[in-house]
Amino acid sequence: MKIRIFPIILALMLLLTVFLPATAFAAEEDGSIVITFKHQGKAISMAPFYLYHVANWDGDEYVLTDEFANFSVVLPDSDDSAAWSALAETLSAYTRYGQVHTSLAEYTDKSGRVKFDGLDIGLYLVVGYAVTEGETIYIPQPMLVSVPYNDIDGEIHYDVYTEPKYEYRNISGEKLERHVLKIWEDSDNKELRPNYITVALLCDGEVYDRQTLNEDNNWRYTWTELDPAHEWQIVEEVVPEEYTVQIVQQGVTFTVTNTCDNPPPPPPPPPPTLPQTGMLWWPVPVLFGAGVLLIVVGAVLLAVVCRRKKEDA
Amino acid sequence: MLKRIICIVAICLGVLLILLSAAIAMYNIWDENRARESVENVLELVVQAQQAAKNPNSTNKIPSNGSSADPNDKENPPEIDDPSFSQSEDIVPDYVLDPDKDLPSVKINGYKYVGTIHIPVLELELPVLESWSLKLLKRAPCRYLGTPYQENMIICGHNYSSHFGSLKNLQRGDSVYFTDMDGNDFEYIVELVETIPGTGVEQMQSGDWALTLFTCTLNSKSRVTVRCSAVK
Repeated sequence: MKIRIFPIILALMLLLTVFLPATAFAAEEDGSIVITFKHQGKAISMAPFYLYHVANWDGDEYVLTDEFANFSVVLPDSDDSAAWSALAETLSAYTRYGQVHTSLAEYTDKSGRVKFDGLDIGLYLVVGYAVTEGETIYIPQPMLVSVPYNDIDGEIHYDVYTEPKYEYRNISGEKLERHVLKIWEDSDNKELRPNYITVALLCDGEVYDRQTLNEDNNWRYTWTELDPAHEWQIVEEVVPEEYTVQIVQQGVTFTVTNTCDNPPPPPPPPPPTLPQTGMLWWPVPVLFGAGVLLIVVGAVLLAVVCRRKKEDA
Repeated sequence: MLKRIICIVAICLGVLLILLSAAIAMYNIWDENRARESVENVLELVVQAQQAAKNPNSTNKIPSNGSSADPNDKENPPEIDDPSFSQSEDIVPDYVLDPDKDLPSVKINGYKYVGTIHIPVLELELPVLESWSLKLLKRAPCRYLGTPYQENMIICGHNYSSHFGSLKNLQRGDSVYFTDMDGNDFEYIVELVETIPGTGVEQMQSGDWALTLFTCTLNSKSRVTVRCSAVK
């Protein structure tokens, strides 16, 4: 089966690229997020969406809420949209893993629409669960949405309208493969790293399998024969101390990046040398020559000694 | 009587030296054969491991959404914020996702191998060990440092005729190939063959060469060094 992808992204998807000035909005106002989930113009109803209040705006920058403060993640620079997408993906996996809960959950209606209103100002994570219609599964991609946001004209909007990017495929199609690759961002200071880490493969949010990644398996693992009728995600079960985590899916591969800010310098390598890569041939002619010389000299001298002895006798 | 004894001792010593030289020569011939068998025995296993890693599950597939996410395009890896790129079933090689990654290794017969090197003009195909030591160099060529992903790899090999003994015969323009244990192929062209003193560590690591191969000269005092550029 050919897997078809119909990526949709609207201008509102990454609202964070338009950053908010400190005095841009009134803190007492409520906001709302309206999500419309459609495939080729057709509404997808009964799709569950969850909303998580991830961070508050303190006037200068976003600060993680108590629920998310313990996560080993960092809020990226305001204009790094790729990093914000990666953060959404990472946090989404951990919410599915059950590390944080929310009471903000709604299904899309017949028009594929769901509305969360009465929202405090802040940064919200939108997580849509996979929904199956007929033979097709639709999997919305998570996103981070700022309430309010500035549009490109600088106008502030407290009611945010967005459509999620999503993936869809035939549920009776080819089995899937998922690959996890550990990346260390620590100035190659291997002393800092644990001997192994454990990743969990989530099937629709439930732990399907656990694998240990270490040097012996090159810090990676591949699952095959996975059912295409489900959504598959990865979490790193325990993030190593001193590191933050970022989990991003590209194709079939999940990269689990652990980053250590300001790592101590790695221990100095041993003094370099060039290995000896030669065979020991040079002594052969030297020893052979010396041996022949000694035999010849010895034989000649012996002959002389014997002749003199004979003459003396 | 004393002169006669000295002469006999000299002759005996001479015979001993000739026997010693013969013993060294025989050891070298035995060592040469052992080294040849060592790489021949393991080469097939390493190639099998490479082919297993390059099975259809990990063959690069064309992106199904028609995006520009060419998995072999190291210059332009797929962007995660590219609106046209989604979670498709594309397989992007690990080294594209993480160019700083170390070479993946596979343990075969207790030793870690990182790939194979193929030099058609010398009719050489050899496994490459993950790291070097004098003991490991007797088994197969070894990675001295670097990776093909960062285009700074240096491989050293013993000057056995079945290993790197014929490196000196390479000429500018000859092709060299390295295949990692995931089955990713990297092609190089010989740019320069030079001789570096055995103490020239910095000289060996200098220059912006994608691949460097080296081995000892016959007298073991210097290193025959082959500098290669990557074929894009």
